[in-house]
Amino acid sequence: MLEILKLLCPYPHVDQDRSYADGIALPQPRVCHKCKARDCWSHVDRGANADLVHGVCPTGMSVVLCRFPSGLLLCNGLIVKQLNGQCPPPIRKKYQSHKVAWDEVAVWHRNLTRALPLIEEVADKKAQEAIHGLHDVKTAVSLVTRNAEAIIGTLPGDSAEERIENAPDEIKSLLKSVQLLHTRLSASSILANPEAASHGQKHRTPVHKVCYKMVRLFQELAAARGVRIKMLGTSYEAPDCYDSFETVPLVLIDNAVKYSEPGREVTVTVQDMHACVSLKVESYGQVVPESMRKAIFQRGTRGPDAHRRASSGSGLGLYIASVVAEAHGFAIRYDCEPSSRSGSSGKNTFWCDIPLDPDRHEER
Amino acid sequence: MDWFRRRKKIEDLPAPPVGELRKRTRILVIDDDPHSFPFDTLRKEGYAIDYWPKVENLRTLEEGQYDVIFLDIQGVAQDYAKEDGLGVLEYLKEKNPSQIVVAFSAHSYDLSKNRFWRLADDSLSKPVEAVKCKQLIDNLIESKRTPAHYWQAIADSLRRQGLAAEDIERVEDKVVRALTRKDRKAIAEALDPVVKSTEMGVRLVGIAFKIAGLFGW
Repeated sequence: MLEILKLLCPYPHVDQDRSYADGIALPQPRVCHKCKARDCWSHVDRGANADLVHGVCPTGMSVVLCRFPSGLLLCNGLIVKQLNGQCPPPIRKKYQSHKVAWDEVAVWHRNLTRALPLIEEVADKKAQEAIHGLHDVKTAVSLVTRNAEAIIGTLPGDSAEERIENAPDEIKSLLKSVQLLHTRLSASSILANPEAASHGQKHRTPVHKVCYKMVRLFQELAAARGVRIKMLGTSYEAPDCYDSFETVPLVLIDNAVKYSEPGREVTVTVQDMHACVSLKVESYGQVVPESMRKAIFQRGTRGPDAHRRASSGSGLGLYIASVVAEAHGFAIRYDCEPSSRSGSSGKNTFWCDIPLDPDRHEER
Repeated sequence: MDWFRRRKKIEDLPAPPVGELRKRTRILVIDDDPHSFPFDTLRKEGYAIDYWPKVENLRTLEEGQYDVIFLDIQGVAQDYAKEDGLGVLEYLKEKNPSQIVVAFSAHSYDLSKNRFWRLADDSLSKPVEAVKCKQLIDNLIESKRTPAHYWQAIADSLRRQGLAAEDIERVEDKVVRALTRKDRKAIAEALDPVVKSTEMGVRLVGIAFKIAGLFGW
């Protein structure tokens, strides 16, 4: 909801991480853009018991803290006529267009507070519609899965695993596509319901085997983009993980393939470490700018080159992977080594350490 | 002389062979979609699986006639519970906590259904592959189809009705000795003096017989 508030805000505003955004009606004034401190949040009393709180920054501009049921929004770069007597005359003169009346801000705040429940209702309705669509897709995929298994059932072998192993390549390909569908559907469920990341019991999960399966799933897609994938490392450990764990290598390898420069190689390394299994996915392409690194694990964030490289991306993959990682008690980290020539492209590394169960680790 | 005799614990029983257990484990899938579960593949590999499109008889489930139940959340028990599959799961966990239930649904995305997943012994989100399903069943057989799992349910029930730890250990000793002798009557006799109602007695003896079932008698 806070994202919607920001989109509907007529005034310039500032995030808690000090990043500025223009309002619908007013852009950020130059004086704020030039400000080195960007400490707007420290010039309002956040403890004040009011829906709107006014403050003045050292430059003389007004900051207005707006309290909504869904969160706080800080508007900056304004001159509130009735309340800001400290604004130096040159600034006051230069930023005529940023002068606002306190009543005007109050009316906007009141109207939006009233409208938010309606917006929420519409958003919920839309989400419900999408959810019902997901159920139908899952039912259809179940049917596809049964048909694929019926084909495999006719092959020689004593068990399902043996029949799959002996299957011709085109049937293996069919099965891989079905598995990819399953994993993607599971990721969609986690997006709608983050608790789905920890549904069920944890099971011993051979990380190397899971990653190898993912590498094989993506080999065809990678080849179509002119990218090679290889696997490195040695791992015999099997940390306790939920079913959702597969989403982590799925997202990291998918992204690496999607955003890799053609002709380059994606390397997936799984290595046993002291008390964890380390997973590392390296690729070459556009690096994430410093200012965006924190945000890449947030919902809906896409890198600057993402649209050009892969129009199919949604900026949700890393968010889903980080939700799954959190459910397992680890974090996904990002590192890059920009190449000396351009600085904007280079080696991208996403890595995480999957902890081993401390009791079992001690037993060894 | 009874003082010198070491009390038998449930852990003293040998582990039932997993291969045999696989064949002995009775599985029930309750789901309105007949295509969601890999029946053919699993039956071909020797798993004993029955299918109900909806809950046909709650008493059968309550009595523990099935060892593992795969339960869907929607469209399977509207006649029995307002909350459908969740209502059945809650009822079973109250009446027979040792019953192994797997939450089996496509609704993993639905925030309002999280209790269903939390309450179950394990979960399988649809769509599901046969190999994954096999792994889950085998894991459950290894981790839950054990004498300790069923004894735990009996001990918890006795503890809740106020029986002292010492007395529970004494009952455990008698039950284990009866199990070693393959004496069903002695199992019932061991539990009979400590249960407070006939209903509870029937339920606990039923659970103890499940342990006997693990060894094929």
